Amino acid sequence: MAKIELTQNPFIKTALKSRYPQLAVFIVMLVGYIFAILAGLVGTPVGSRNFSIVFVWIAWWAILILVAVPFFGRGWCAVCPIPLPGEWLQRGAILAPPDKKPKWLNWRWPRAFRNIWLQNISFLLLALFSSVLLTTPNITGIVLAAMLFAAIGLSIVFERRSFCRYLCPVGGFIGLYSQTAPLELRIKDKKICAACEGKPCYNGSAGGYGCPWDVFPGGLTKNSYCGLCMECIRTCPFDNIAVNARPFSADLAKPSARMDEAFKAFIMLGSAMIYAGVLLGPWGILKDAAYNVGTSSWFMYATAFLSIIFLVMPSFLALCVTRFENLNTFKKRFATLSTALIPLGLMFWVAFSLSFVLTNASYILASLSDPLGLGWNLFGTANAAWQPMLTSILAPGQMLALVGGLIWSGRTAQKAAKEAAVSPIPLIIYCFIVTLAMLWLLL
Amino acid sequence: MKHSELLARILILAGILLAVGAPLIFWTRTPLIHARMADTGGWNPDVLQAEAGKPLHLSLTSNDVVHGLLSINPGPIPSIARAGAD
Repeated sequence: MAKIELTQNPFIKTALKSRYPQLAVFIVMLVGYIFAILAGLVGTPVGSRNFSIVFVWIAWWAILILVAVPFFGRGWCAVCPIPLPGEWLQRGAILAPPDKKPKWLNWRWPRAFRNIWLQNISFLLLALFSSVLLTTPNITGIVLAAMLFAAIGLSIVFERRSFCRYLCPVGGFIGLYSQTAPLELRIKDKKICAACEGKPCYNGSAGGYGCPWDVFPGGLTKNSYCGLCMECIRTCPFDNIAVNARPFSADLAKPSARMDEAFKAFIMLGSAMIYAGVLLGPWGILKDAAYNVGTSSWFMYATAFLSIIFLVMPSFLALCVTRFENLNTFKKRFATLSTALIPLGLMFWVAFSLSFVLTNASYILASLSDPLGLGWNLFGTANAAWQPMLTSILAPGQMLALVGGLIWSGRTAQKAAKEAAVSPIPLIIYCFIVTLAMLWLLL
Repeated sequence: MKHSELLARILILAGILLAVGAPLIFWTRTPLIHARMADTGGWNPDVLQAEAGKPLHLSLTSNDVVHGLLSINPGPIPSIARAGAD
């Protein structure tokens, strides 16, 4: 399938170029986000009756992992409210053209941290406390507020969206999985970018701001670090930026050889499996260990969690690197092969999320009418009974997602193994075994 | 300052005030009594009828292991009112 340039459609082009549609969504998202913080802090402590838990960890998560990431890649980042207050402070404006003089410190992000290791760490920090975070409204409120204030703080000290690019725990995995999405932002003609003076897409112009994600669009080859903010569409004087529909997983044809991205794939794949066991499995002892933060059983759980992700899973993948010349080429091959885990991990998350989203979606109606759990009944749905939805399609849907993910990762493994100049068979067996494990955990 | 910029700032400030103010105002006006699990809607069915004086065997379960708190953080089991008692 060839690429289709969506921005050839005048309606889409106008909607993306104008700031107003995006601003309207921003306002709704920001108000909802702040309300979620407040609901978490002052609303009922019963998780299933509190807006912050129900709308963040059920409604938002469902939209993110089942729709936004698989089909729109970083589409969520395009409307995410977390960086907005900091960005508006940084720019000194919401809509007005950029001021040439920086308002705040405007430091460059330290070179040593220009990777996604900090995002890996921030995700793991949340993951280790997830049983408490996902069920306790005030902890959710505190974490949401902390992310908002961290983004504001970093915007004041560092240039552009440093929080989104280097620290956001959600942005890290969205970037990884956005490589599989059938949507991309790319330039139309490289020669035009090479000849362009001033590079307004990166440095800004009267038409808009320089890339908030610190990316030169002329060099974009994959979706990972493009936040789809559409500033470059507004600033390009040659109309050389396009949003394209494309085949799924187009970026994975050119595997990354970065270790930070490779370990992001392990973190996501391993977390999906561990969550399936802890949150959906029948083992009460595991649930207790994950929930009782600070106890010896929690430390054992955390150690096992990190060992599975950083030792067990990578060690077995290392066995798939059947050629060894020196450490550098080994690391490059290892990272290249880990690309096959990206579609597999995404489909693991889809299968895992289907389970708890369909089970808990009915809480959304009740929470909509009584978001703080204070006894309101705004839309007459506050007493809607808990009712699992579409239970008949849950198991087949999960099976389809996992088997589809295995086939998808098998195709990716073939391309990655070719790039790494090794046999794809051990890697396909690896993917097959972890898929069997996930099937056992979920079904 | 352009009108569009001014309008955007007013809209955002109004939205933030609404998102912060509304929950705080209603929170201070509504005393919240938390009965751990026995909140409205926490039990389904929420009324059980039984004959007074005879043993009643209850089996408690929860399919909602992710966001419902029964399986993760059960807390105290609620007391059972006897027929005729308040």
